Amino acid sequence: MESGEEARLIGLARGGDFAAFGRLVDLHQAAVRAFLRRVTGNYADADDLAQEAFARTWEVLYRFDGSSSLRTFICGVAFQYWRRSRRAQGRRERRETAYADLSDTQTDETPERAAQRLALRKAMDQLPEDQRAALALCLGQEFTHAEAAEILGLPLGTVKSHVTRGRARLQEALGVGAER
Amino acid sequence: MNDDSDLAGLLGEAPRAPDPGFRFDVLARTAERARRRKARQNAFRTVVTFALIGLVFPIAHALGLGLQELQPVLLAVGLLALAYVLALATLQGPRAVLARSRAVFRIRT
Repeated sequence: MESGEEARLIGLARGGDFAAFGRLVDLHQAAVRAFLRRVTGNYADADDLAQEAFARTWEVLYRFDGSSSLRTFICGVAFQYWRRSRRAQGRRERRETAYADLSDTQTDETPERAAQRLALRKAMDQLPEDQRAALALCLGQEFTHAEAAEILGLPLGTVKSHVTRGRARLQEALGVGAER
Repeated sequence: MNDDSDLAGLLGEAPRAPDPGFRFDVLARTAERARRRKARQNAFRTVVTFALIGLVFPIAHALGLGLQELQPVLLAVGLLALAYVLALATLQGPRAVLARSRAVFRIRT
């Protein structure tokens, strides 16, 4: 989508146009949901958080000044929601959740891939919050390091080092030598 | 297994196409939040209005004003309040005679 068309939709949404906001949701839901799925490890929780983040975005759309992309802005809101929900819930039974996710969402995958996913999830859950979020944003090449830095409110160098170290930890969990 | 996109896929797949169900849920949640916010604002406004009305008498009493002196002011305020309520009912009441004028003057409620 052209940025001009997106700007038009943002203008309409600010004026209270629900249909325009719906179009913006369609445009950005994939990136926001993917980020939250990777960072939470639970598709249902991720989608719930994503919906909250979009609903909050509608309320604070007037704060969006266009200095970054709207996708970055929404992911910043989603990141704040994820952090807040983690604090509210406290520590959860991660292993059981991961097993539940495996059976709920990936029924057609091979046992080997399911085991890889579980190992990866465990490794991901052991990473610090910021590092997890940086990895979730940058691994799929969906966000640049600069965009991730803006979303997470961290310096660019910190994000780069989070991604490099986090990637090494994940590869280690899969029994693969880290790339240098 | 050292491809970043493969790692990302294992951690969580992005939806392949926009999901209308997701959009519907977002819009429903947005509308619900807006409704709650408006209800909170209305409740706050009601509480403040009646608190101010309630404060008029003790303040007047503290200033040494009796009911006799307050009567013209109360009458004027009462008439203004009645005019406001009638105007609102005309613009957005059950038989909103001037409903279109709300759009013309862009009065948001």
